[in-house]
Amino acid sequence: MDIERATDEELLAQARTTPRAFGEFYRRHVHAVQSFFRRRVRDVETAFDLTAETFAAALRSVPRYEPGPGPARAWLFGIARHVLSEALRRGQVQDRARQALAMQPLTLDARDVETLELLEDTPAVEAAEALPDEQRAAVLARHVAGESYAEIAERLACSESVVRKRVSRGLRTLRARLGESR
Amino acid sequence: MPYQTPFERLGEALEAAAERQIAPTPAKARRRGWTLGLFGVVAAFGVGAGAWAATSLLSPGEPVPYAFGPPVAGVAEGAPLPGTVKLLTTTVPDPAGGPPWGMRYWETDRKFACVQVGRVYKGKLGQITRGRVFHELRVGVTDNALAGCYLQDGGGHALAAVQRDAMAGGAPTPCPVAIGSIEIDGRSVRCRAHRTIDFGLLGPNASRYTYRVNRRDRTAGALGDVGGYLVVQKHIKPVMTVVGFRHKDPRLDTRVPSGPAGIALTPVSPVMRQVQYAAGTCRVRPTSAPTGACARQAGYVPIPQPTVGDVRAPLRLRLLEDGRTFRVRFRARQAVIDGRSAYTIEIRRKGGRNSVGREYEHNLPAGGLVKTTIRARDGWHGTYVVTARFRTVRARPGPLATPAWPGLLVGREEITFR
Repeated sequence: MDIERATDEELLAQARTTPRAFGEFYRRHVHAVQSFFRRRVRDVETAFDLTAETFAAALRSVPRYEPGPGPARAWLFGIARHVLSEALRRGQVQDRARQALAMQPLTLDARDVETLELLEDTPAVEAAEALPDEQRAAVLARHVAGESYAEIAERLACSESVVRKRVSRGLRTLRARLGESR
Repeated sequence: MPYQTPFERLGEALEAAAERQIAPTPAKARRRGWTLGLFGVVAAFGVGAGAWAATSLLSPGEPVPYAFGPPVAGVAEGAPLPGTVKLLTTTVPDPAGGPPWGMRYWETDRKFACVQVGRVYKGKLGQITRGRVFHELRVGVTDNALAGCYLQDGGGHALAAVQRDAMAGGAPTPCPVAIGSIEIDGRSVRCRAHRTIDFGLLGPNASRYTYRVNRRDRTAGALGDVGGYLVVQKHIKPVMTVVGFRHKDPRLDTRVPSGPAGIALTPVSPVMRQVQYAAGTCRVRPTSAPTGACARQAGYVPIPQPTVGDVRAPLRLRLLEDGRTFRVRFRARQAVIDGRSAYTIEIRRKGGRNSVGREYEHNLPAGGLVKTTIRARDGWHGTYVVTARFRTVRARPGPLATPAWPGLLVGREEITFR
């Protein structure tokens, strides 16, 4: 199965046996989930903490997931709402799902916080997540991280002209997608 | 090792967890201390950037609206004079990248000098909303924007030093201070700011200025022959001091927090360190004086005071049919030719102390008719005294340069509301 072209429901079904399928599902929706929490809690770190717990809880539920009448995204946001209400009720973010999965805590330093702030509320970044990997890496490196074409080329081990082409194609796709969503 | 964003690290951790979950013997869960609590941690870093992804992705939106219609010659701040409109800079970088910041300057027919600050995209000044929509700032928009018009001094130059909180896209914050929340259209909106913007006009005598950003002092040349300056940085907390008296009895404790003036004639903000004027260097020190810290060196030219003759004239009031709206008319014996003078209509409850005023900010010749319509506010009942005055600005006014009170009496009449 071509994971990049699979529907969300197909990804979740595939995730029972293929870890990369859940990774793709995560990449498609992580910014939307982070934005959902960002509008509801006061700081970007707490929003990220809630996002991490939401995806961990979703991963734990993957073996029980059955496609229903609603989209898989609605299922994910149902989990997000539950994680948020639990956190508000108890006064702190729960980590049960991450503990059950034996995930290491992610600590955020100043640069991480800055990056999270930089990426929040940017529909273009969200749309960029759906680009093919090569284009996505090039567009985000050039226009979010502000790296030069030479730096990106060195990091991605390809020529500058290849990077320029990837950025150009990625931006063209983004323009088209953002234009559709307006 | 290249930097991975928190999202990338979390994605990898989830994929690893997915692998463990699929494996026949899943890893045993173990208690770990999570560092972030919902209400426990306050970031020690700067507040949100709210930046945008790719500058080439911006799409055009509606221009930033004029709050009261396009500028009109001879009215309020007046219309821009042809040939005076110029972009003083278009290259001030934003701390989070994206389109640079710029500053526009123009002069008006009513002796104001105006500036606008915003993000620059495709050579235009504007504001960015939702990270991807660009709204042009047209010449003359001074509300809903980082902008202002300042009365020119006797030499035809304006001085102003402004510090404002702003959103990352270039719009001013909806709140006067970036603390707490306010209600807009019945909705509670959190008061937050992404940027602190220092901008203004240092005047023609300024050549260079030094400012502090991220604990480093930098020096830049004053912009254009009007001495413009623009400093953009991530939002910084205002330096607050306490004014008033401390007393053990809370009823007598008058202490209140006070920040530096948001606007002064010359710099006062702690971001501005010093200014090089022709008359010498001014080291900027915090002061609450409306003339700022550099009034001595800036070379403000006093505004010539007009010789005002008798302005008294009969005042005519006419109550309209609704019993709440009234018209005021009188002959202006003294001409109004620019923003340095104005007629004011003042309304006060008979025997009361408080009054409200309505500026008549129109140019008009001597002998011209002043006429305006005013509607009584809710709760105005009984007899009110309507007074017309002619006011002029002082020779050395503050940065806002409004005409001085009480001015000269034109006339006074009474009116009764039902």
